[in-house]
Amino acid sequence: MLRKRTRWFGFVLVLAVLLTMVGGFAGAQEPKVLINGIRMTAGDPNTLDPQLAQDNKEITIINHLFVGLTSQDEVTSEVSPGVSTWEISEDGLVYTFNITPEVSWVRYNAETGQVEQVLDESGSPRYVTAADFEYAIKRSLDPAQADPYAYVLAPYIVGGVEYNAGEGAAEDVAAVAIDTYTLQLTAPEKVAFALNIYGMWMARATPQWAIEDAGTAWTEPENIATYGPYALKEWAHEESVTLIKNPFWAGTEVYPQPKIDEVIIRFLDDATQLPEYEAGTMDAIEVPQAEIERIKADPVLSQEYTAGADNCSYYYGFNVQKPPFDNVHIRRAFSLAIDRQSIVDNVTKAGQIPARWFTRPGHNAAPSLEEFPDLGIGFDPDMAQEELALGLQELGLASAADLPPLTLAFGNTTGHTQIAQAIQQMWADTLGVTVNLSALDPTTYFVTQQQDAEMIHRSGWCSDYPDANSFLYDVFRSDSSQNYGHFASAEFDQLVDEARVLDDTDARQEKYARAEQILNWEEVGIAPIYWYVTKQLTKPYVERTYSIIGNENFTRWDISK
Amino acid sequence: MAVMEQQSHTAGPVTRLGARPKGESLWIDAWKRLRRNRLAVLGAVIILINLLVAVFAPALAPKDYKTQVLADNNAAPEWVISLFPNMKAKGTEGGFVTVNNSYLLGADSLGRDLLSRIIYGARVSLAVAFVGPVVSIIIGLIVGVVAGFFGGRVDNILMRLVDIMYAFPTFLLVVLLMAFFRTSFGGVQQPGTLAYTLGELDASMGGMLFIFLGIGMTSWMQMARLSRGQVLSVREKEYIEAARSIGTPTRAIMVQHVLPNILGPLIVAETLTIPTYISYEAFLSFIGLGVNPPTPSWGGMISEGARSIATYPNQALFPALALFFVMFAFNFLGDGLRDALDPRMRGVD
Amino acid sequence: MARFIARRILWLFLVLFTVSIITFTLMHAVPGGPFAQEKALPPAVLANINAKYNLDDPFLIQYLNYLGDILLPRITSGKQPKSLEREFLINIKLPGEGDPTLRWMNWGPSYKSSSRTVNDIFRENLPISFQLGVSALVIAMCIGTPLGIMAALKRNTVYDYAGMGVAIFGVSVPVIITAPLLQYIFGVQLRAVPVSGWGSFQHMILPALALGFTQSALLARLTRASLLQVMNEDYIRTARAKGVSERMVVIRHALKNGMIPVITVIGPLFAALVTGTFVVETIFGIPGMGRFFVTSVTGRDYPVIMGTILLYAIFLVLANLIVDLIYAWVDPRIRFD
Repeated sequence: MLRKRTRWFGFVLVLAVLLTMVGGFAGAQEPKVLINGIRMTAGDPNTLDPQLAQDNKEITIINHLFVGLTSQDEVTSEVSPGVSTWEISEDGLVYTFNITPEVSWVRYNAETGQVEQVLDESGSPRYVTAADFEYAIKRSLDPAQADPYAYVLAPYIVGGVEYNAGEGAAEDVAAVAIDTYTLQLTAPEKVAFALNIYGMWMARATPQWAIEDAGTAWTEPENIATYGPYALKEWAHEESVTLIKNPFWAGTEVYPQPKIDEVIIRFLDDATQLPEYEAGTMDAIEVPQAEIERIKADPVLSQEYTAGADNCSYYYGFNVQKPPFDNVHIRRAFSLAIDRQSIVDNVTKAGQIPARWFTRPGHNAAPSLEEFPDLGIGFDPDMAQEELALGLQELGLASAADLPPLTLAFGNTTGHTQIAQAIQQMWADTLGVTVNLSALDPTTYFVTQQQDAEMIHRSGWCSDYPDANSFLYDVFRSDSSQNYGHFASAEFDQLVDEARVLDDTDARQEKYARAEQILNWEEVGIAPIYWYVTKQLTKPYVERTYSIIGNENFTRWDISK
Repeated sequence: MAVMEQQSHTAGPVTRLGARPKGESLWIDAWKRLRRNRLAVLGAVIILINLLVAVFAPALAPKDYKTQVLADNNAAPEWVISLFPNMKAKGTEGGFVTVNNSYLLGADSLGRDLLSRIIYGARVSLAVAFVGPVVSIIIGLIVGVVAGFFGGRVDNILMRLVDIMYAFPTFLLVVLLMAFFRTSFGGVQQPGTLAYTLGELDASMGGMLFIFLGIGMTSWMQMARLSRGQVLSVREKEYIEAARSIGTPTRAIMVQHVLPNILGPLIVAETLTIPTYISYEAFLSFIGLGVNPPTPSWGGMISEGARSIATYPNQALFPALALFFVMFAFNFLGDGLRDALDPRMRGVD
Repeated sequence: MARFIARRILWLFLVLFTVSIITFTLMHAVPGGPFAQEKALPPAVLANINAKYNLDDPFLIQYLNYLGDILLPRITSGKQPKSLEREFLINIKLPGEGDPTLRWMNWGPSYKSSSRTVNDIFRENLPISFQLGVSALVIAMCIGTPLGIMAALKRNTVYDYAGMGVAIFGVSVPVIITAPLLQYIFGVQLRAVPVSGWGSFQHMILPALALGFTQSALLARLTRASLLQVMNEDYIRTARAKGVSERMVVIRHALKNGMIPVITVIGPLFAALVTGTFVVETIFGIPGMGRFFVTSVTGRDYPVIMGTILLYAIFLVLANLIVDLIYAWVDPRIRFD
């Protein structure tokens, strides 16, 4: 009885909703709404403040609210004009940005349901100026702001590192608004990827007046001011963010005027996104690894499934200071014994690419598999055994059984745990060694890795900007804070230092290839495992681009229902 | 045997009293009544079988629990595929499951025999099911009975302690214990030392021993409140007044009159918390704080299998079924014990 | 009675104080801080962050600062950023020049969600968990109690076995498996209810069922056990002997006393349910408070850990106080002393 009534109630409700919808939109053009879960997980984005953001979830949203001086094409990863065009001085140190005039600061007005221009005290619209960019850049570097990504920006602006370390002054940072629409940045040295850095999220204009008015709450929809292709309509914390088309946005090459009126971004685990997608209530989602085989076999879902290029690498680091991994032959034996093809075929299954080295191919100046088929390291059980024998001999041990207890540590998530178990067995089968697994809660793992990395420790890296420098120089230079296993090679350091400031891409690529050979084969600082791919499902009525740089660009998407 | 084991765990303080003539008749009587309860006996048998399975897992398991055949990942036998309509064998339209009848219940995502992992998983799961509850019922019973019987200031202080313990951040403690034992005890230890022995014991339980000891030590509050509540309603009873009036010492009153009268609901409640402990183990796996691989546990298998319940339902449902049987057994046994131990039931059946 | 309640409220503060010390100590003992992450931050950046949140102060100073922010009221005047309203739980406008405002109870910022404060989480996410928890508790009581009564009254009949079978089933299958199963069957296959999310009655059905069903089993078993015990009491026999109808015996005498153990568990159960449960909220994508109990710890978000634990403690103490009052009402022989 009760159940019957509930069902009736539900039916009537659905009918009512349907009728209202039909009535409401009859005649009017139905707004195009996209419900997206790509790059999302359960839980709120930590921030929408460009000068605090660090992960994909946040940056995907920020990219649509704030556009940089330069923009990165998400398909080709090339640099293209954002809200400015630029001139570079002959010595390659002074960058003059001419900011597009009259780009409006806007805010969504919940009462009128419209995106409106933000007006200043005198009632005229506020436009994005060079001063806004100067403010934002200095805000990112300000020690009091404590922007976690300041360290990526600081080395590329004169005075940046000193100011961020609390030793310099804001006035000495070489970011200067020359007039309303002209910004000048001075770099301490000439690097090929400076334009990428200047376009990153921490260098996006932010509204000083709004921040001073609302404090840390300035990113809430009622306080925020933005200027990108979308405006922030709603931020339902822990649930979703709704972006609404900004009618005042004129469009750039990478961020044209949006065709989709509203983008609802839901914060759900992939395991929840898939049932939503199958129920027809989400349009584009991340695919959980556990269900890939069913999706690939399903006649309908397989047509909607795409595995695309990504910007990340998965690897195991060796702590070269911990015996027996202070011996290069032992390290090489362990790396050679990993059957990467079997892992991507049987464990990860989404078409990840077995990695022969660290830098994911596709990045500017990075070696590619076509040009360097024999670079790095691969699965070779015979050679692994030889190397192990060599290593044991050098250590004066009779057999692998005399090795001290070996440990592989990793953050305890399903994916890492599966791979660790598979590799544990490969080592047992090929080398006859038992490696203990230490599955730690992720935060504990990160801390132990950074303070005292385990003999073998799981790691991953995604580039911050599409250049090989973001992999090799940023991670494995001997003084890098990401170099957990204490890999150190003078030749490597010299190579990445030289490649960093070279102009010629081919010459840079040669140097990076040599550096990879040292890192992966000669010194074996790490065992590369695979290069990531994205795994996504998109409904057939969504026309879209596939990003290779880690963040989707909804302005180039469309819906045709 | 299993039944006695259960009794000594849940009613530890009382068994010792079995030496007294009056108590003895109570326990023998209870034992007789328990044996007459078919369902309780069935429950006891299931638990006994489970204990045997856990102990003799190496002999019983058709395959090794940790040897992977990566090519057989997620394989399933024909009967399992025909059981679940959404599992489609390779070769049919939309088929994706590798058919392999050598895995009786199927293989997991790394090509390990599911049945063997369930059999070995009984070890961790049963250990978890005993460690926590034993610790919690011992502490809880003592605190609850003392609080309830003495009342007044003692009661007040103990019950506020209970309030504090209820709000105790157990989860923080779990993270702390795990960080401590998986980093320092996992290191090199000399055989023969206490740390080494403890470390080995913990490792054989997939790193869950200390964690569940810790959980037990912070989860006795329900037992305490429950036993206090029972004591409160029992202590005003005529027979307690009578005992008091003839000058029976407090301790004797507690042990002879109070304890037997409050044990019934306590045992039922405790058998009911056993699934919560096993669920907690699954919960820890769910948030990435589970057993150390490759040790299998039912909770870990369920939480991992639940991620692909639409694709490989067998990987979650079979371990869940094993769990379910054991829970059924604990509950029937708990019920039987309750009936058997309740003095007012005497002569009822 | 009034004295009893007053004393218990006073105790509440002592409980909170003790719990705060325990939690503060434990959370600082756990390795890793709020800014430990996969991409290690360079020392200069980490130093800036620690200075921003005063994490470089000595432990005791950090604790005293935390307590001070909550306990000490503050008066501000002049123009203040809007975020100040969100930092303090209580903001009272005072009369006078320059917009003076009395502000009290700053529970701290969230280190992880940089634009939010612990108060924001209380204000926005707690009501959602409260709704879910109360409906789950109602479901649990509606299923559990009658089931337990039926099983007790028809002891050793098919009703008893069936009822207890359902109860054991509920408690034996963890919500980790029932939640995605319900989601798959009713959300994906039948499309009867939304798969996930929050906002309408339909959204609430599956999560409340998944939560409530498990808890109903607990209540059913307890009800049955304690009713069986009560039914053998002398006063029930007396009532029967006096010729009171069986129905009246059960309703008037047995149920009232038999509910004592049941009430005992409802207190903590209520506190646990209304402050949310992580698994159900994660699987069903519910923006409730339960997630914070886990994510704050895994992310070492210190103020949120403190806030969630202390809030839970408040709920718990109050729920237990109410339970004790109900005790007295049910069983007048229990004294307040």
